[in-house]
Amino acid sequence: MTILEYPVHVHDLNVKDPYILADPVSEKYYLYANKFKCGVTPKDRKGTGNTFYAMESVDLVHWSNPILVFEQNDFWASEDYTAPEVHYYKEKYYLISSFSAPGKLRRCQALVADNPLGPFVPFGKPLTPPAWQCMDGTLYVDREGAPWLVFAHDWVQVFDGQICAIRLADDLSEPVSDPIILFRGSEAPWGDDFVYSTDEGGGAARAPWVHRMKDGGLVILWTNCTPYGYAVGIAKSLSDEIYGPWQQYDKPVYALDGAHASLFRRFGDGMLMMPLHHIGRDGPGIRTIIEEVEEYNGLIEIVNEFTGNWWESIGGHPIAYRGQGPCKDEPTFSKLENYGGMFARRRRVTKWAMAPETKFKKGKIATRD
Amino acid sequence: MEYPIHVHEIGTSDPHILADKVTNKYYMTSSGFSIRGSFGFGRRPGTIVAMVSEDLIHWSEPVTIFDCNGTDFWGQQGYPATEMHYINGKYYLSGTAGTPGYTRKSMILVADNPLGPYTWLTNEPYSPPGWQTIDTTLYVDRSGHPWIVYSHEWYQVSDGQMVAQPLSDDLSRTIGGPMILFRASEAVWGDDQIWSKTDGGGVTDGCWMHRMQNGTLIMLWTTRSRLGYAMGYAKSISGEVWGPWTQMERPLYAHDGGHSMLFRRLDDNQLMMSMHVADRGPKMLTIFEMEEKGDDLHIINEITGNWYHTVGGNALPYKKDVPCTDEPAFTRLGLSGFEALKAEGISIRKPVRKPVKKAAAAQTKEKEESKEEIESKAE
Repeated sequence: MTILEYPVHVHDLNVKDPYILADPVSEKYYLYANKFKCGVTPKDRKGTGNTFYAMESVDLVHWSNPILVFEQNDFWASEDYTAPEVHYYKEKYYLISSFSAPGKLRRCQALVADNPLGPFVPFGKPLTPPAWQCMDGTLYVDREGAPWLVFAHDWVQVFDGQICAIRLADDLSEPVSDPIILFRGSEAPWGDDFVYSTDEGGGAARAPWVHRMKDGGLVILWTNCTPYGYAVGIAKSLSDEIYGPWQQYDKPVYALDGAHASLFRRFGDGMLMMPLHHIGRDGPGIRTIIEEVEEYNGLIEIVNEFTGNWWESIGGHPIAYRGQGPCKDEPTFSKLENYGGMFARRRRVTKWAMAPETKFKKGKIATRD
Repeated sequence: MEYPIHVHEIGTSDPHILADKVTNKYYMTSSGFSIRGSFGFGRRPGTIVAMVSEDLIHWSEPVTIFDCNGTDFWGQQGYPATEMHYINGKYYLSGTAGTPGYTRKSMILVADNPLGPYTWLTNEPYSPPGWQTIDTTLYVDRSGHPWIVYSHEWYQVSDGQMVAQPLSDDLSRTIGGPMILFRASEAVWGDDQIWSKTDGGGVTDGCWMHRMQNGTLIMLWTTRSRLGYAMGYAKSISGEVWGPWTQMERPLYAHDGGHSMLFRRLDDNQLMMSMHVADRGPKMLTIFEMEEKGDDLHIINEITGNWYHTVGGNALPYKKDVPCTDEPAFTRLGLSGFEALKAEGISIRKPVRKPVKKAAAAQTKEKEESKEEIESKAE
C-alpha cells in the first residue's frame, strides 16, 4: 500500500453528509463521499461519474487527496449515491449508500471491500423493502450480534417521514425480516410546520445514527427541519433495544442549521466525535464540521467544535454571529479535566478535587484525604 | 374478466375503492378515469362506470353500472366522486348529480350486486333544495342507523361545510334536517380564504367516515393549503356523527393530494387509503398503506409509485421527470415496541440494586471459583 501525503487541511472540507470511519485495524480515519469539491480529484476518472471517493487522515486535521474507491461500471444504479457510510463488520468493510435509477425507487444497498480504500464491489440485494423510497441507511449490530439496517423512509413518499429498521442476513446480503417503523418526524416537538415551512418541513426525518451508550442505553441521532434550518435530534429507546418504544427529547442535540450526524471514537483518548455538515445558506455553502461530544445523563451533549469551520458557516438563530472568512485557529483536541464537588457524580472520578481554602469557608469543606 | 390496465396507467380524480367481501374483488368508482391519454376513458355522458380488480394492481376496463339516458331520473348530468357502499346485503351508490339550471344535489342509488345496474330508491334528491353539495358518503352509526354525509360547497357559502342528515333504515329518504358538523376554517392548516391564489381554505371535499379499532370516530376530509390540495382528519369527541368535531393540528398528506377514503385489503385486512395526487398536475391514483396507533392515523407507505412524477406541495423540488417503473409491492410491518419485546421475550431493563454485602460476597465467590478452575486446569 502506498504511503499517502496529506495536503488537504480540515478547514477546506466542504463535504455534504460527511461520514468518518475510524478504522480499528489501521488506526486511521477515512472520510467518504460520492464526490469531493476539495482536494485534487484524480483526472483519470472514467464512467458516468457515479463514484465514491475516500480521503485518509491520521490526525483528523490533515487529509489526503480523494481516492477513487468505487465506480458504477455494471452496477444497476445510475443515480443518487448519497450519504455513503462504511462499517467494519466481520473483518470486511461494507459501504452502505442509497441508489436509484430513472423510474426506480431509491433503495439502500451494501458494497464490500477488504480494505477501507477499496476497491468496493456491489454485493447482495437492495436492503430496503420494495416500493419504499428510502435513504440514509446505517448499520446497527444489536447486543446479540444480529445486524440491522436503520434507514429513513422518505417524506416525499409518505408525507410524515419515518425512521425505520429492518433485520439483515448475517452477511448483509439481504433483509430477513419485515420492516418496522421506529418513529416519525412529527414526534419531535422541535420540528417545523408541515405545510407552511419555507424549507422541507417537520416531516423530513432522515439520517439516523444508532449509538450504544456506555451505560447500556440505546439512542438514535437523526435530522429534521426546524423553522431556523436543520437540526440533529435524539431519541432514546425505553427498552434499550431497537424495537423501542422510542422517546424523543424536546431539545435537539444541535440546531444551528447542521444536518446528518454520525459518531465515532477518536484514537488516543477515545472521545466521541460527531461529524455533520452546516448548510451555510446565504454564505459559504456546505461546510463539514466535527463536534466533540460526550455522553451525559443518558444523552449526547456537545463539548466543542473541533475544526473551526462553524465560524463562517453557522446558521439558525446565531446567523448574525458568523465570522468573516475562514477561522485561522489551528484545530485542537479538547481535553476535559475531571472535576469534583457536586458534579463528581457526572464522571467516575478517582480523586476529589481540592477546593481552594479561603478564610470564609475554612473548615467547612469536606474532602476525602 | 380480464384486467389489462396496470395501476401505473390510471389517472383519476376522487377515486373510491370498495373492497367487496362477497365477490372478493375491488371496485373503483371516481369522477372519471384518464387512461392512456384519453380523458373520460370508457364512459359515455350520463353514465357511471366502475373498474374491477382482484389485486389492486391490475384493473379491468371501465364497466357501465348506471345509465340515466332515456330515464326520468332527476339528476341527468355529471356524477362526480361516486362511492359504492355495501350495507345490509345491498350495494348503494352515493354521489351527487346535477340538472342544468338547478343546484347540484346528493343522490343514492341501489343494486343487488356491485356492478349494477343501479336504480333509484325514490326519484328525489337527498340534500335540501337550494343547497349546492358535492362528495356524498354514507355512514352507519353504532346503533345501526344510516346517515348521509356530504359537503356544502364553499362557492355557495364562502366557508365550506360538512353536513350530515339521518336516513330512514331503508335509505329511501332523509328523516331529519341537515346538521353542520364543522366548517373548513376550523382546520388550522387551510389556506387563507380571501387572499389565496387558488380555491382557498374554504374548500371542503372528500368526506369519509371511519371507525377506528379503539372506537374513535374520525372523518377524513380535504381542503386546500397554500401549496396545494391537502387532506387531514377530524375526531368526534362523542364518538358519533353529531360531534363535536375536533381537527388535528397537522394534515395527514399535503403534497398536493387529497379526496381520500379508507378500505381494508381483502387478503390480510390491512387498512388502505386511496386518493389522487396531484391535484394541480396529472391526477394519478395513489394507494397508501395505513396504520392506527391509539386514536391517531398514520401512513406506512404508498404502494403504486404514482406519486413519483406528480408529487407537489413542499416536496415539489423532488418531483421526478419520468413515471415510476418499479412494480408495486405490499408491505407487511414487523412487530415493534412493547409487542416485539413481548414476542422476543425481552424484559425491559430495570435498575436492579443488589445489597452491597451480598454483591461483594458473590464476587469473592466467583473469584474463588475461577481460582479453583485455574488450579484444576493447571493440574
